[in-house]
Amino acid sequence: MSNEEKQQIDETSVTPWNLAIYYRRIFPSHIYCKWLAYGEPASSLQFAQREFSFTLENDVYRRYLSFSNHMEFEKELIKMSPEKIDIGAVYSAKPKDHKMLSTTQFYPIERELVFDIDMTDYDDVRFCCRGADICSTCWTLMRFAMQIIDRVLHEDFGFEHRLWIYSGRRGVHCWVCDQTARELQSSTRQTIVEYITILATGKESSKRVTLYSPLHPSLQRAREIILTEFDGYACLKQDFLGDDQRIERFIRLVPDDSRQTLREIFSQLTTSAERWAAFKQHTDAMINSVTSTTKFRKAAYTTLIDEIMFEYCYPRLDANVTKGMNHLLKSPFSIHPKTGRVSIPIHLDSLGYFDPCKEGSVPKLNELCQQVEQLPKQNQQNDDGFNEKISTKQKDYNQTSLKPFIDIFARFVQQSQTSKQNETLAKSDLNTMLSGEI
Amino acid sequence: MEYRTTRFSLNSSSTKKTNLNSSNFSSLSINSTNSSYIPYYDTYPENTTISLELFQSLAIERLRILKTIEQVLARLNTTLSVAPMNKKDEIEKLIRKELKDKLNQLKFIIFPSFTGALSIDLQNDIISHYILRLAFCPTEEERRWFITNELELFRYRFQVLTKTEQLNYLNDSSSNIKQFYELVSDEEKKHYKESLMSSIIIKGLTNSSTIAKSFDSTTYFRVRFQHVPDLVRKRSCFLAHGYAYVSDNDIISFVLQHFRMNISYQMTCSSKKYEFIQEMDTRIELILKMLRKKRIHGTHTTMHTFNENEQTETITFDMLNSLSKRSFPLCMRYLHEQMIQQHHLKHLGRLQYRLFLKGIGLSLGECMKFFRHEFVTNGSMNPTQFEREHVYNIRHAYGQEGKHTSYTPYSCMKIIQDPPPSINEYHGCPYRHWDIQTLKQRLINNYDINEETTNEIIDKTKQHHYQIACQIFFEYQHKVKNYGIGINHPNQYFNESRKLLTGTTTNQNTMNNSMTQNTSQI
Repeated sequence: MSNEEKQQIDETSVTPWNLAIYYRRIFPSHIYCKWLAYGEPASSLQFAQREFSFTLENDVYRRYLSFSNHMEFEKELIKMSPEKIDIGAVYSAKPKDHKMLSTTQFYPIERELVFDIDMTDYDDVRFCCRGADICSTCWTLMRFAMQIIDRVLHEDFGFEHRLWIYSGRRGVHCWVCDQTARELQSSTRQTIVEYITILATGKESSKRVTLYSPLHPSLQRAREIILTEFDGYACLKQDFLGDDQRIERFIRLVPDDSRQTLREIFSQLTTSAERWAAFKQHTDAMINSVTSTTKFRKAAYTTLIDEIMFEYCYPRLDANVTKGMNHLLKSPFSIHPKTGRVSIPIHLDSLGYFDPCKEGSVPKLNELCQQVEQLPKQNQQNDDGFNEKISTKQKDYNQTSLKPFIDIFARFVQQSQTSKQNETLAKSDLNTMLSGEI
Repeated sequence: MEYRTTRFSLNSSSTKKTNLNSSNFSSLSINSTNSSYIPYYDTYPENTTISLELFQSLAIERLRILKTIEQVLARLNTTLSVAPMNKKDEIEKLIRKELKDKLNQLKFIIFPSFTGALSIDLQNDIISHYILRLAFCPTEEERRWFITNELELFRYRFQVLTKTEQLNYLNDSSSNIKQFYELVSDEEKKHYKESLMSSIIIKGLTNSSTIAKSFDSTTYFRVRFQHVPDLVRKRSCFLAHGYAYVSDNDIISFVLQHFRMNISYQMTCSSKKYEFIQEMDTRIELILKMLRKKRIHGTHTTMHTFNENEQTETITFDMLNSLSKRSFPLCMRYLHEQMIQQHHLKHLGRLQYRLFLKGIGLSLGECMKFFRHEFVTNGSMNPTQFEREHVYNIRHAYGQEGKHTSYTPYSCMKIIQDPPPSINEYHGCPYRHWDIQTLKQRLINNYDINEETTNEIIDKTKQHHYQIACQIFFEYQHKVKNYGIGINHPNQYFNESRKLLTGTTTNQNTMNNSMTQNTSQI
């Protein structure tokens, strides 16, 4: 490929050519397959009965794909070069045979507990962007969501193996891979979603959060997480009380008897920070006021500040993705067809810092392809036989900007399998994975 | 865990007696003065001989109890798990009234305080439970019905026990329930004191000293979180590392879940061997068949299922706008409005609305035209996307693709119980899923309901009588009073509305209706 040709390719474009390079030389398929085999041998049913779905060119969907082993997976992946990969459940039989089987023979038996958080669900509480757009400001909401949910999953439900993924565009996914999580029934998944959810559904315009004092321990923890950044985020970055429209949105959350008072107080102040401070002061006064007529009226104020913070910042989940065992979810290391960004793992320690809007934080397909193309010639010369191609491939991605993310993934895969394997064995495995030797 | 149903009638081939296999009645030592004992139903009756007549009458009595519970709860539109405390007495009274003179052998199940339980009562209780298990194991629908109502019965009986009796129940060494919980030690309780105390939900203002006092006297149990889904869902227990800390006040959730999992598992196992029993003894098979029939007929007293054949008008998609205003229940009218405004509906909305349209007689072709018209012509979807993503689904709903099942339109119960709509979703039951303020505003502003009627609807909604609220809406729309149809299906709403508005029904339909009427009086 000549230089001119390269430049013709648009920044975000996802071309068949680039995809072919990506799957042949960069995609970490051996770690990936190892992940989904969960310590079972490569040709195990655990892997062979897993559903994959590939989105090919022109939005052609191929559901119910399955592959008998890692080699077949890699071969087909390179051959089809999908624009997007989705992962489904492990079924009672091979998904590719599903048409020949009845529902009593073909049903999902195992599935990671997954969560999907999408920025579009926050449109009524962010003023910086709408729809599919994101920026560093509203990404704060995703950081809240990841930190809050991750601690719920770990501390409340005791799940150890949580893989957080940036979806490549406007959201994040979490894959909980503990054996107990994978075996959960759909109703229990629903239970977990409801435990996490506090925003009432179906109330488009009015107050959607109702809390009781004292807050449940898991909500107290969420509150602490939100508090660390709330003033900076809401008052400064979002300027959430910055104009009349925003103020009216806010006033709707306040009990009737304070609305007029607050409108008057707010009109005398200029910044969101001042207005928020004045609101808190007003609320405290209402709680402590002796004239607060009834206990009921007073109760409306005791949790009001928290309710409003939660209304603006608490995680919003797509419940159906979590609930259904056979729901598909975009795979880690899949390319986002619209942005060309790779779905990358986020390290657990950086859930509070990760920001995809920062320049260079998320590798893009065309950058990665350029990086491998620029590698010294000798690597490319080995490209003859199929087997050699695979062994050079792992060395190739080690020299791209995807390496740190593959390292995070490899470490995750190693840890999620230690329950099945002897630890030393797993460690040597990790080294093998990282060095790229099979 | 194997459920040995098939041994049921092994020795009954020549005699008129039926042999029941029961494990150990002798070990079930119940004190006859202790009237409130509930069996675990985890050991199977063995080596007891009862007559076929008793076999039949026990089964019918228990079926009557379960059906009464079902009907009472349906009438009050609630379940015992969600019913507020003050309502529980009302439910109990109703159940007792319904059953008063109809029970002989199983009296003590419902009237624990009236008769001292004898071991024969207990035996009858267990036998009747297992006969119904057997009768209702074949299909999933029957299993679900049986389990739901057995659970409500169990809950009713467990709530009658004193706290000590409840603890004894948990501690009984003959049950495997002991493997699934641990008592929380004083040390651990102290360690988690703050968290445990803030996990007690008390609405409104809380008095910290009363909480502290009750905390000291509370016993806590540690169970896997999966075993108390009701509590986890409502965030009303403390969770740590996959375990739920459940107070003795809430322990019923755990007991019920344990009970549910046991029966559900065992019934699924026995359903697989059901054919075996059919071959064993035709007399028993006849009784079981009769029980299944009795269940269905009984449910008709409260469930008016809509009748697809009632549909007489030919409906085309351009009629939907005016029909929706006159004859659609609110849930469907709202979906229609959203469809016209947004030119799109999300998945669950499409499912709910499409099947309803099919039910009112919109043909596949017209349905396709309607969706294409909104999504593509008026909306922004490009035609190829529509072909790819929607044509198949619409055909599927009409039984033209996939399994070729013609799907039934959703009933009110399903719509009420299904996942609530989230942002940008419009399906569900307005009375169940909208908040009171929104409902009120829309009724008055968008649907021109006068204030008096709106308040009536709101009242019913607040009491969780969603279907009655819907009925009031119906009556207002059609200017009728006390039109006792009992809405339980959106398509039934529609059919009733058409009947009133067009005033004509063909002979055949009148016949159908009168038949339904008859069955509902059985």
